[in-house]
Amino acid sequence: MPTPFGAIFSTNITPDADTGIGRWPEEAFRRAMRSGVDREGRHLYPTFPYDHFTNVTDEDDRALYAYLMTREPVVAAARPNQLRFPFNQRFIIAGWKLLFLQRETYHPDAARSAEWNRGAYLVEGLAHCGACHTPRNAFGAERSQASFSGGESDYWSAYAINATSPAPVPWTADALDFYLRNGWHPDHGTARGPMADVVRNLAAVPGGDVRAIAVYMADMFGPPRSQRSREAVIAQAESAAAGVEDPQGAAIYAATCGGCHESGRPPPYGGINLALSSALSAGDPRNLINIILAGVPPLEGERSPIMPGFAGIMNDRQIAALVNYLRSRFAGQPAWSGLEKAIEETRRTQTAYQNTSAGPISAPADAAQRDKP
Amino acid sequence: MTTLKVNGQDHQIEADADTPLLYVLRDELKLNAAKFGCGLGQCGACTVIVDGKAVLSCVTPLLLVEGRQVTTLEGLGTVEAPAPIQRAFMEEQAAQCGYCIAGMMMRAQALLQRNSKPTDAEIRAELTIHLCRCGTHMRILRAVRRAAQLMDTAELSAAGQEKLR
Repeated sequence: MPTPFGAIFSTNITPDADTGIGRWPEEAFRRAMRSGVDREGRHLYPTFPYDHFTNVTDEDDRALYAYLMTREPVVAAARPNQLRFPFNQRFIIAGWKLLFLQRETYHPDAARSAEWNRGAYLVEGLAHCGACHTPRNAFGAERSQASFSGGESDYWSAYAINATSPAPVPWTADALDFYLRNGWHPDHGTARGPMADVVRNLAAVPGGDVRAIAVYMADMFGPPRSQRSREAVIAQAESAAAGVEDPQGAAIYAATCGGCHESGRPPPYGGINLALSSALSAGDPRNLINIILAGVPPLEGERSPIMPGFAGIMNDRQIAALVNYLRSRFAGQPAWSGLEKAIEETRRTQTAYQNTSAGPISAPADAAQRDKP
Repeated sequence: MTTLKVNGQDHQIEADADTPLLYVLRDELKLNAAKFGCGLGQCGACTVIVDGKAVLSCVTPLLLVEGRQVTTLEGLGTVEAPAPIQRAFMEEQAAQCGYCIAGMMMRAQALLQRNSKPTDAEIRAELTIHLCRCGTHMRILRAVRRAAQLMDTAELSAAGQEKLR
C-alpha cells in the first residue's frame, strides 16, 4: 500500500506457523485488532486499521480468529516495507498511538434504531469506511473533526460522504443500499478503483448488514441540501451547456464519449449521463482521469457496467482538453488547477496500481459465480 | 481532410473527424483484417496498433489518430512472408472461425514489442478484454508464447548475421 511515508506491504494472515499467524493464540489476535501489536509485541503500522478495529466486539474477533485459523495455511513471507527514516523505526508508532489512537470510538446510541446502531458499529469498525473517506493529518492519522469529508486510496480520490458530498443528486439510504450491493446506481454511476473492491467484498455480506450501513451513512450525509432529482440535474446541465465554448474538448467528447453517455440507455449497460457524475463535480480530477485512462473492466459472470479505457489512444493534451470541457459543461465549474500534472501522475500511478493489484481485475463479485463458465 | 499514416503510408481521408478509425480502415482503405465485433470497445476484434499501443479502433475517432502511426495486421506481414506473430498463430492452429484472431494478434504484438518475454500471467492479463466464442484460448496462449520465441530467435539470428558481416 502506498503511503506518504513509503510503501507498506500487508502480511500473511493464513495459519502458516512460520510466515503467517499459525502460532498466534486468540489473545494475541485480539490484541492486534484492539491495540495494533503483533504476537512478539512489536507495534503494527496503522495501515492495518486498528484505529477502527478497536471497535470490534470480542464475539466478532473470536469469529474472525476462528475463520482465519481454519483457512489453508500458505507459506508466504511478507515483503519488507519500504519506509523512509525515521518511519522505518517501529518504536515511533508508540508515540503515534499516544497522540492519535482513540480506542473504542463507537458507542451505541439508545435514541437510534437498532439498524442505525448496527450500521454505526460496522462503519466505524470492520468496514472502516473512514480509512479512505476521512482525510488524514501530516502524521497519517484520520482527522476525527473532519469525519467522512473525503480522503484517498491507491491513487484514487475517496469522495466526501457527508454533507460536503459532491454528488449532484443527493444520496439516500435506498440509493446507498442499491449502490453498495450492485456497484452502480442510475443517479450516481459506477463504483471504480478501490471502491469496486469494496463492493466485491460486500457481495459476501448479509443484505441486512449492507442496509444497516446504508441507513447509518445516509444519516452521515445529513438532510439533502437540495431535492434535485436525476431529471432536474440533467435538464440543468443541458441548459447550461449552450454557453460552453471549447471546440477541441467538445469534438473529442462527441466523437468518443457521447455515443454511450448520451445514448439514453439506462445503466448498467448504457453510460451514465455525465451531469450525474461525482467525478466531474469533485474537487480532485484524479478519478475522472483514472476512468478515462483505464475504463471500467467487465466482471466475469456478472451483468456489470463496462467502458473501454483510452490510455493507449489519448495523449495528455487530448485528455486535458476533454477533462476541461466535461468539467465546464457538466459540472459548470472552473477548470481544475494543476491538471497537466495530475494527468501525468495519474497515468504513471494508474499503471502501478494495475501492476500491484492483488487479483485479476476481472474477478467476479459474487463468489458463487467463480469457476463457472 | 485528415492525413492518416497507416502501415508506413500517408493517406488523405475525407471522412468526418468523428468517424471511427475502424470504418476508415475497412471502408476507405480496404484493410479488412480489423473486424467489427461489438462496436462498443468490448470485444477486441477491432484492435490495431497506434504508436506502439494496442487500441480499439471501433471507439477511436479519426480526430484522435491524426499524425500518429497506425499499424494493422496487413502491416506486419504477408501471406508469402508472415510476421513471427502470424507464423506462430498458424503453426499453433489458433484460429477456429478466426474472427477474433486479428485483434488478438495485434494486442499480442504490442505486448511483445514492449516485453519480449512475458509470463503466462502477463499474456492472460493483456488479452483479457478479447473475446473468443470458439474457445481456442489455450491455442492462442500457446501461439503468443511461440511468437515470443520466434521473435527472440529472429533477433538472435539477425544479430549473428550482423556479426558475420
